[in-house]
Amino acid sequence: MTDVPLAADVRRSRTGFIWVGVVAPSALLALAAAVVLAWMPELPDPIATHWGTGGVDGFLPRAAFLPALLGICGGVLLFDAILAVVSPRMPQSSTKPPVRAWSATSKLLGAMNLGLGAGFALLLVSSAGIQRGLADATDAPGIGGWAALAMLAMVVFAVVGWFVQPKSPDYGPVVAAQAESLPLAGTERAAWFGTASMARTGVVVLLVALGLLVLMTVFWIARGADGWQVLVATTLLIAILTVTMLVFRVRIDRRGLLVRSLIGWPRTRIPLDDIDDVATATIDPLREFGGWGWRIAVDGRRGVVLRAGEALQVTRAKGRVFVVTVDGAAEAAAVLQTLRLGSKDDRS
Amino acid sequence: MLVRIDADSATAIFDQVAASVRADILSGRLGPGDRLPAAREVADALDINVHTVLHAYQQLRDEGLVDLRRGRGAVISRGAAPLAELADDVRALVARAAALGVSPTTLASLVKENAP
Repeated sequence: MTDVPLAADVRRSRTGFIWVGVVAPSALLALAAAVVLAWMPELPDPIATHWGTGGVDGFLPRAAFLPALLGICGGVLLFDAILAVVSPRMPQSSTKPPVRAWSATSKLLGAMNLGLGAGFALLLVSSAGIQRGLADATDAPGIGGWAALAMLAMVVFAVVGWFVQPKSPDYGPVVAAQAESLPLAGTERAAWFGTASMARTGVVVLLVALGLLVLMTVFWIARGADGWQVLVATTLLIAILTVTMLVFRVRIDRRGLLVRSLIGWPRTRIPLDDIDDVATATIDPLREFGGWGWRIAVDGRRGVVLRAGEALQVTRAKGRVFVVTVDGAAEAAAVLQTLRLGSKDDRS
Repeated sequence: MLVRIDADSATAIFDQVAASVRADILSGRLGPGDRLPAAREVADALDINVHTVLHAYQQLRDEGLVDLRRGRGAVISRGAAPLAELADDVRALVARAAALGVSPTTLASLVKENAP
């Protein structure tokens, strides 16, 4: 992969992100950790880490308190940061260079990181603070007030984090090119087959997220805390959803467009007479669709977005736009356009 | 992968399906390791018999362009790679023949007769 230099505005956005989304939350967490460390001798062992409706219901050995909480928060911060920094380096496909862009989604990740860092730091200090001097953690008072305050801090810092970062570069409207059509004799039939598969970065992001979730689930079960069944069900559901998103088959024939996951679901079928317009578009998953998979964009477009770059874009009769990032999108668009116009002629 | 068939053509349907695959290999749109759609899918999309598509795939296998494996379907073989390299030569030869008034059929038999 050749390394194209980043544009000045992208570099400025990235610097802003690193300060707001990485340095600032890390500093807040470090500060909280330092305070808790200073209180360590006064804290009960085991220490309360979870409050339910009836008071304290979760404990950890005192020594594990800081590493566990910092680990959880640090992991999320790191994941967001990697996602934001790596996404502008994504190759569009095997033949095209990466898109050098910085998206509002990355900016949002930075803001969320700051909010998360602030909220977590406050929770860390307050949950330790209310247990100072206690011999037994079961005597710890309720944490409701502090939790609400931490939530508020999370929102306020996230909002501040959003506005402190520089404005994301403007990329202008979506580029869509009208489909050409194919010379097809009256007695000829045509069908087109293609595959849309997840970009490697997308696969890594999904697998890392899934891995974190599995770790969390295992941790939860090992602690024997209530409600682990819900977590296991959620993890399984997300694992299944992840698998359905990896490869889609695209088929264009006399009936229209069929986009189907390798395991059969989800599937989208658009009949020829429900198609108003066929085009190819260049797509940036994180900026326009907020990620990879079966997606709905801010501008209302929806579809299968598995990598950056060329995509088949179909506008349906009711104005709804469907996209699929399939290799050979231009040819696919031409075939679909030809079949659509052909079937229209037959009816008139 | 684009498949085109013409029911009114003198060429057999299976030959036309095979020709579509060959054209995609020649243009570089299909390369070694790429998987062809399942015969059932192609048959359904074009409203032709599954055995016709399987016949086409078997012919491509006999030409060494496709590997047919149970459970994996039809995959473009490594032997197909040189085809894309020949693309320009073939195009030039066909254009030259057309300019001289030699029909594609005649050209094809000339090529066949020249084979060692």
